Amino acid sequence: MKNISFNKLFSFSLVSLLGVLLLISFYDISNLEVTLSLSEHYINYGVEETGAINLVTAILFDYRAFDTIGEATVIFTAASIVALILPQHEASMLKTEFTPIVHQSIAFILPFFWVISIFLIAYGHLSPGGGFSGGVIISAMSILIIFTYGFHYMTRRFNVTRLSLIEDFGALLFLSIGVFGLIYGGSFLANSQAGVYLGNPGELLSGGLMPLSNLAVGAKVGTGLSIIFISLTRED
Amino acid sequence: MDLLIWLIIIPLFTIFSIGIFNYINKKFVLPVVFTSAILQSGIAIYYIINRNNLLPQLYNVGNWQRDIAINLSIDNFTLVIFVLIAIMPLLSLLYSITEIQRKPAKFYLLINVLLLGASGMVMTADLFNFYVFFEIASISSYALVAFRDEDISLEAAFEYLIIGSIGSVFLLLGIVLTYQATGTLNMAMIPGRMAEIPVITRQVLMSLFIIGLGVKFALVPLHAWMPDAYQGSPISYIVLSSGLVVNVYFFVLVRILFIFFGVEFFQETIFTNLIVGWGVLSMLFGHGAALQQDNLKRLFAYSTIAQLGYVIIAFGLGTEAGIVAGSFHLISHALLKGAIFFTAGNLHKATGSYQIREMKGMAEKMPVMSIIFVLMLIAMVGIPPSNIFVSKWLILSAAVEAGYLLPAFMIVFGSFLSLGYYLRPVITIYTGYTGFPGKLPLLKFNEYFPTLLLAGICLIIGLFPGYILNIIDTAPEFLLEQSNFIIHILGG
Amino acid sequence: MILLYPTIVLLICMGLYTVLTQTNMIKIIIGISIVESSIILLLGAMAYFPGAAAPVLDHPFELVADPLPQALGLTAIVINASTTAIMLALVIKLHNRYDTLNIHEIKKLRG
Repeated sequence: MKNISFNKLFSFSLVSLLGVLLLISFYDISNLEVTLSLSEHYINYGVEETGAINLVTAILFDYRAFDTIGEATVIFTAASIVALILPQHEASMLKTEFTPIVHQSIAFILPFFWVISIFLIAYGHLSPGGGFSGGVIISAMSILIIFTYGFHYMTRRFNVTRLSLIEDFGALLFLSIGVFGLIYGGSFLANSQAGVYLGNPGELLSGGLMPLSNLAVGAKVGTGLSIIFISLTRED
Repeated sequence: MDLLIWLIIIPLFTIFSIGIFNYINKKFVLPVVFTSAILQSGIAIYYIINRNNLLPQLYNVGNWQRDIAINLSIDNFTLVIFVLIAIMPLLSLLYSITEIQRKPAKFYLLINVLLLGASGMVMTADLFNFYVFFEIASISSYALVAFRDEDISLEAAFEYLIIGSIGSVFLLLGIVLTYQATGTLNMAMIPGRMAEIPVITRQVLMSLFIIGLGVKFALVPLHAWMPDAYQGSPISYIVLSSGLVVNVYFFVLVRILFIFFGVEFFQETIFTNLIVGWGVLSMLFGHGAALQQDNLKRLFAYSTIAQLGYVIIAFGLGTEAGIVAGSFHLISHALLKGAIFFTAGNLHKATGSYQIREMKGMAEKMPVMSIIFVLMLIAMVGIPPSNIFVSKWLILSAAVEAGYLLPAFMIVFGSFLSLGYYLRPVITIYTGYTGFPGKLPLLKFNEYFPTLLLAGICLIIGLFPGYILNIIDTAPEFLLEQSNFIIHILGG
Repeated sequence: MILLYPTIVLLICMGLYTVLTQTNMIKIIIGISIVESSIILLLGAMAYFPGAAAPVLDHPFELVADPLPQALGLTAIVINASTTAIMLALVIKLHNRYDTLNIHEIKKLRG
C-alpha cells in the first residue's frame, strides 16, 4: 500500500513539474511578437494561387499535399494493421436487438447520409468539409448499419477484402495524381503550380485537381475507417 | 537528376498496390517488393557515389517557392543514413523470406511503410511533415513488434505503443509550440526566429524534442520498451530497427538540436556537459543491464542502448571530430549489430531458443556460424581490425582533444565491461558438448548470405576505414554551421 | 481567453497522470486520448483571433482565422485516431488471451 502511494506521489510531482514548465513557456510564447509568415501568405494569396476558396482544403491538398499523402498512408496502415491483429472471429460484440422503429428510421436516414457525404467530398474546396470529413461520414454509415442490422448484413455486401481493394484503388488514385504533377508540372503533387486549369474560384470545377484528390481521399478514409470498425467488432 | 522524390514514391506505390497484387496472385508479391527495395538501395547508392557533384540537393514538393513549400533536402550529413538505407533493407527482406511464413504480404507492406517513414524523416526539411513521417514509421514499428502474434509480442507491442504514444504527444507539443513561437514550419527559417525566444522556453522546447525522439531511440530513462520489443519480434524487423530506424531517430534529433538551437547555445549553457554525461550514463547502464540478461535478443538490445551512448558522447562534444566519429560509430555499429542479429537468428535454427544456457555445445551443430558469431562479438568489443575499433578510437581521440578525459576513460572502461557479457555466450557455445545430435540444421542461401555479407562489409570497413570516412568527412559542415543549412534550403 | 492555456496545461497533466497511475488498459488509452485532444485544442485555440472569420473566403474579410493550425489539427486528429484504433485492437487481443484488462496481471516478460 505504501508502495502504491509513493508511485502516485512521484507521478503527481513529475506531472506538476511539467505543468509548471509548460505554463511558463505558454506565457512566454503568448507574449512574443510573432509574424505568421506562412499563414499570411496562405490568406493573402491562397485563393488566387490555388483556385479553392476553402483555405484549409487549399493547404491540405495543394500547399501541403505531401502531409496529406503521409496522413493517408497512416490511416491505410492502421486499417491493415487492425485487420492483421484481429483476424476473423477474434473480436466479439454483444448482439443488440432493436425494435422495427429503429430499423425503419435508420433505413430512412441512410440516403441522407450518402447525400451529405458526397456533398462534403464534392464541395470540399468550396465549403467546410473535404475528403476526410466525407470519408468519416461514409464510415459512420457502416457503423450504423452494423449496429442496427447486424454484422452479417454488412459483411455480406462489403467484406474486408472488398473494402481493402476499394481502399487500395483510392490510395493509388491519390498517388497517381501526385505522379501526374511530377510528369506534367515537374514536381511531385504539383497542382496549381503545374499549370492545371484552375477554373473560377467558387465554382464546383475549380482548384485544379483538388476535387479529384478529395474524391480519392474520401474513398480511402471511408473504407479505411470502415475496415477498422469491422475488424474491431465481430458477432459470434 | 531529382531522384530523391522516388525514395518516397516507390515505397508508397508498393504499399498501396501490394494488396491488389496479393489479391490477383500471391506470386507477384515477392518480385514487386524486391524490385522496390533494389530501386531504393540503388537511389541511395547513386547519391553516395555522385556526392561531389549532386550534393546538397533540394526538392520543392508541389513546385512552391522555397519558403512556403515542403522541402526535401539531401546534404552531406544525410549520407550517414543513406549508407544504411543502401544496405540494410534489402538484406533484411532477403532474410525474411524464410522467417516470415504467416501473412508475408502484410509483413512486406509494413516493412515498406517503415522504410517510407525512415526516408521521409531523413530528407524532410519541414517540421510538421517530419511529424507525419515520424508517425508513419512508429505505427508500422508497433505492428511489426506484434507481428509474431505470441503473448510476449502482443504485450511488448502494447508497452511500446503506450510509451511511443506519449513520446509522439511530446514531440507534437514541441512542434506546435515551435510553430506558435516562430510562425513557420520550415526548418531553415526557425533558427533565426528561435533566438528571440526566452531561454527557459527554449530549454522547454528542447526537452520536448529530446523526450519525444529519445523514447524512440531508447534514451536511458525511456528505454524500457526496447528489450521487450526485441524479445518478441522477428529478426528481420530487429535488424531493420537496430540497423536503420533507431539511427534515423537519433539522426533527426541531432539535426534538430544543432540547427534549431545551435552549438553556441549548448556551449553557453551547461548542456554540453549534461549531454556527454548522459551518454556516459546510458553507456554504463546499457553495459550493466546487459550483464544480467539470459536472453540473446535482450542482451543485444541492451548492447544497442550502450552503443548509442557512445554516439551520444561523440555528438555531445559538439566538435567536428566528434561529429565525424559519432557518424562513423553510428554506421559501423548498425552494420555489425545487423550481422550479429542475423547470426543469432541462424543459431536459433539449431536450438529453437534464444536463452543462452540452452546454447550449450552449439559449436558442434553449427561450426561455421559459431566461429563467425564469436569473431563478431569480439569485434563488437573493439579489438582491431574491427570497424568498432576504428570508431571507438575516433571517439576517444575526439573526446581527449575536446578535453573530456573522464568520458574518454569511461569509454575504455565500458568496453572492458562489455567483454564480460560477450564472453558468456561464447563460453556457453564452446562448452558442454552433448554428443552429435544427428541431423544438422541446414541454412538456406538467404539466411547465411546476409550474415556473411554484413560481416564482410564490417571487416572491410575495419581494414580500410577511408571508404566510409570519405563519405562522411564533410558531414559536420551542415551541422555546426547553421548558415550553410539555411542557405541550402532558402537560397542565398 | 485568459483561462485557455491553463486549461490546456491542466488537461495535458490530467491525461499524463492517468497514464502513469492507472492499471486498467482502457483507462490508459483514455488518458493518452485526453493528452492528444488537448494538443488539438491548443491548435484550434492558436488559429482563433477575436472577431476572426472562418477561412472560407467566399467574400472579402477583414480578419481571417489562421488556416494552417486547422489543417495541422486535421492531420493530427487522423493520426491520433489511427493510433487509438491500433491500441484498442491490441487490448481486444490481450483481453482474449488473458481475460483481464489489468496490466499487472499480463506480465510475462521479465525485466
